[in-house]
Amino acid sequence: MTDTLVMTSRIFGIESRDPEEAASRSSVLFVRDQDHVAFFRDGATGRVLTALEALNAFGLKKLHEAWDYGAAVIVSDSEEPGASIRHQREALGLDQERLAIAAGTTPAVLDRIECGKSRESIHVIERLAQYLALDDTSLSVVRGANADSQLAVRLKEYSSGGSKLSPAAVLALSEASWVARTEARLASLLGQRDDRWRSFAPTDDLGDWYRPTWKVGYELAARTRSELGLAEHDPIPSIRDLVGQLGVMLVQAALPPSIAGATVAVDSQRAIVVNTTGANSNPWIRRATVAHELGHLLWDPTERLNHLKVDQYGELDQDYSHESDLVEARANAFAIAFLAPPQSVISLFSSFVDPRAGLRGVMESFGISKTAARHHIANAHQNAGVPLRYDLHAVHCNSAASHDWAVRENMTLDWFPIQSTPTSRRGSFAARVVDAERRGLISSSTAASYLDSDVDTFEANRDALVDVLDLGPLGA
Amino acid sequence: MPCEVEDERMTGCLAQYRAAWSARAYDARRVGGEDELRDVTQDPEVAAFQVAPAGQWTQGAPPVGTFGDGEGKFLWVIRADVMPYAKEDGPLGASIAGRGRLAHTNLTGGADAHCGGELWFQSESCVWLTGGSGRYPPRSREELEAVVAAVRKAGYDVRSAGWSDELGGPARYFREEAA
Repeated sequence: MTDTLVMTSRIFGIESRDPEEAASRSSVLFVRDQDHVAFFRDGATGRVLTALEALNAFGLKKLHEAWDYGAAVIVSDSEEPGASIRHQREALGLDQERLAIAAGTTPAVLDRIECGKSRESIHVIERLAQYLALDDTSLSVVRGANADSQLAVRLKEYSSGGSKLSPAAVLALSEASWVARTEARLASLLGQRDDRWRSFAPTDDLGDWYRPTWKVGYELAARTRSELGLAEHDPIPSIRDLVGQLGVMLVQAALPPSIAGATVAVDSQRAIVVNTTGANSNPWIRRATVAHELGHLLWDPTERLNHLKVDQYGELDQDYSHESDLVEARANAFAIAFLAPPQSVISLFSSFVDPRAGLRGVMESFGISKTAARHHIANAHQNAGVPLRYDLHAVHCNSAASHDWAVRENMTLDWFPIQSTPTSRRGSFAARVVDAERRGLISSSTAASYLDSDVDTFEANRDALVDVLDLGPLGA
Repeated sequence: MPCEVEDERMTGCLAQYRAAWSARAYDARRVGGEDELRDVTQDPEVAAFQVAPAGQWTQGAPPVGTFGDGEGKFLWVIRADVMPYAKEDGPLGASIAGRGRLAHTNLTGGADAHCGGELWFQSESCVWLTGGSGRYPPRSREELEAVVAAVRKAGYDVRSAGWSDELGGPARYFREEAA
């Protein structure tokens, strides 16, 4: 058995009894294809990996085998990675054509990969894995590629419950799950993992005859604001930032039209997926969707959250007092009270003489849509026993979200240095990818893949990415 | 066939390859200890590759996955004068201090050589072959294919693991369809 000190010296060029420490300091690069890992050499076209990536994916013994024989065999058996890809694709109910097109390849290539008779491009295989929520770092190596088996079950359960998810929706949610779990892994690598959301104790309190559900939602909103140190009159400048501070992954993605948002359990993490199209293209409406999902995520019992929770637009865009599903009613009440505390809304509205200005004032101050503001002002007054002199449905004002709200909530949705990066991979995910790459935790090859780009484009835009993602100088 | 003597017919099969791909020094970065440079070609476990059927062989098969080396793995090297091959993990291999198994440089004594790799025998005239060598790897797809062509010319049915452009080097894992 070769000594660890000897192996780290041979492989990483650094003598250390701690392989991870040696790898993190090493500038040696590796490259992998479907079946092997090797030291990088000029002309290799596979996935280039940093020493740390290679160590984490394959282990010291395998890297020593690469040192010894020129390449190490990493595939667990001849059926991999094709079997894992086929298994997960079928579990998600996707046909080859749909998956292949989404991943930018052809059904014929996908079929070859799944059959396992030939060696195919690792780049294509990884792209497929990204759309199937597989762990791309364990492709070929681990049977099943650490698939989140519950994801497929939950997507099927949701579909069989009467609200069928289209294949496009399944694909979008599956890819969003991959984004969330990858971001969680990168956050751990960066030492930025924060699971503050776990400090909230779920409750199955949905009210009763004496205490209506909306009141429970209001109370939970107040408790959440208090827990986060928000004063009653404070607006929430960016729900996107706030969710990040709680350690919740937020994936903003172009989903099929009917879906507003979803909470997804990924490994032991929770993620919120929110549609950026349809009604949610208005950042005020999108904020409310995120706040609604946050209400589920923080306060719904775990067993309920272990199932995929998808919310259609119709379920969210309602006066919560009319919602018959008590869990949804609580989440709706939570969302509006979280963004716009009722007493503050009453105070603010009453400070305006003109109801039109008052309506717009509430919208602008708290970043909520006109529809939401109308319902909320009316409900807040009624619930507090304060008379409201106006029928707000007859009061009209500009409904467009103001620019500063759009800037805070959209961040990189509107403009991103790499045009090919889908919206699902912009924002905080992209920030972690770029930060991990500039710290040598992942290669530029990996980073480019994660941002759905190529190495040249990524490297040409690295500075712009650091700037637009507000990463600050290294060492900060 | 004793290792110091190459069958004339085998020399003929390898002539084109040797002319096109020069011998070179081993990759010194891959040598772990002095005993890996000990020339063991006088040992009866080492034979000179000859035209089929092989004189010295053991039935084996390459690994099906990441664990182990399969059964009956041989190392081979093409030198200027002969193509020695021997079991990596036989008694001879076990005698290599520190490493505990044969190295390609044991078949050359650390001298220049053209190319090396791994070999398994399905039968006396049917082999699996790779360019898996840290010390004398084939330098290109064309060189590996030239080696395979030479071994086929020697009358063997050869399954090659082939070359991986994504690795920029020889593959070591066998898939049904060659890359």
